[in-house]
Amino acid sequence: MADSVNKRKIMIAMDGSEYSEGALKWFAKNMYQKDRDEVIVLHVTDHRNSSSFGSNWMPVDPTMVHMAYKEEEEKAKVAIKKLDAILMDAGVQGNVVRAHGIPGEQIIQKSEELGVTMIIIASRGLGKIRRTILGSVSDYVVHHSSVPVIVCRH
Amino acid sequence: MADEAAKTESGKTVLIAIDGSEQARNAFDWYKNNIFKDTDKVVLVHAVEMHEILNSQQWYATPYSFDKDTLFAILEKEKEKVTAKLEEFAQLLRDSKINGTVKSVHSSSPGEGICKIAKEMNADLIITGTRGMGSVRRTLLGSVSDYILHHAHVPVIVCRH
Repeated sequence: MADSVNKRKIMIAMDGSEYSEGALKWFAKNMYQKDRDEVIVLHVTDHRNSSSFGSNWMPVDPTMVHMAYKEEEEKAKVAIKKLDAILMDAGVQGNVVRAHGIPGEQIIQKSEELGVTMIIIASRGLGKIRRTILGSVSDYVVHHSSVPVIVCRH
Repeated sequence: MADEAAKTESGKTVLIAIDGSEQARNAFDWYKNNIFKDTDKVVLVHAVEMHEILNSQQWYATPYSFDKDTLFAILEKEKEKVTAKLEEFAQLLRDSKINGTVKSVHSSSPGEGICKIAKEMNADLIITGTRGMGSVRRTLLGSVSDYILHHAHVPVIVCRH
């Protein structure tokens, strides 16, 4: 049977997409051991979309940027609340942690900061490009992680 | 919990890509310590690269490159090497007291071979190391693991150590 003495610190990257929810459910079904696992759900808010309102003909309108930023923050807050509910639903005890920045980089940075022993991430998330099997963030994480990565797909 | 009953009835098929390298060994150990459940069906798959054989010294050293006998001799030797590797993996399973099977697949692309076996055996999960016996060391992720990551239709675990 799996070694029950070794404590595990597991980070699950969730962006609010149903794919990331699927990844959590996979973890709960196949791996989760309550007495052994410390689960951290990481949600990264990417504000790059909010700051790109300028163009060659019109300089950035600070009001627009501020509004977009607020909108992004509101969306994140809703997503976080949902994550707490999803965790409870799946029967997993975990902490939701927020980060800001480029998703891939933040996931790697936080995983190293918190000293996680493995990362779980869905193969794809909320991104727009649907022709690929492996999204850019999961691709980045797999290539840059120094701990095992589980790429979940369904 | 009501979930417990559901968990025990369906075992999952776990495919572990092994090439005999330390990395692959670590991937197997990681699986044993973190995922293994006794309802799991474990399949260790060794992907043999066809061109390894044809690029070997022996082949180039033969006076006639279409000498049937030499070809047979080389292929026989390869078969012996593969069988020996499979025996090593089988011993790995026995030592860990895990019930499983060992398979080898021949393909010009090991990644393709592994994905093919995964489909055939209805694998629910594929585990691979980051890099194997290949010679290019500059990449962060070996070509086989990379292929599997981009083509498998089931969860893939990339074991990095």
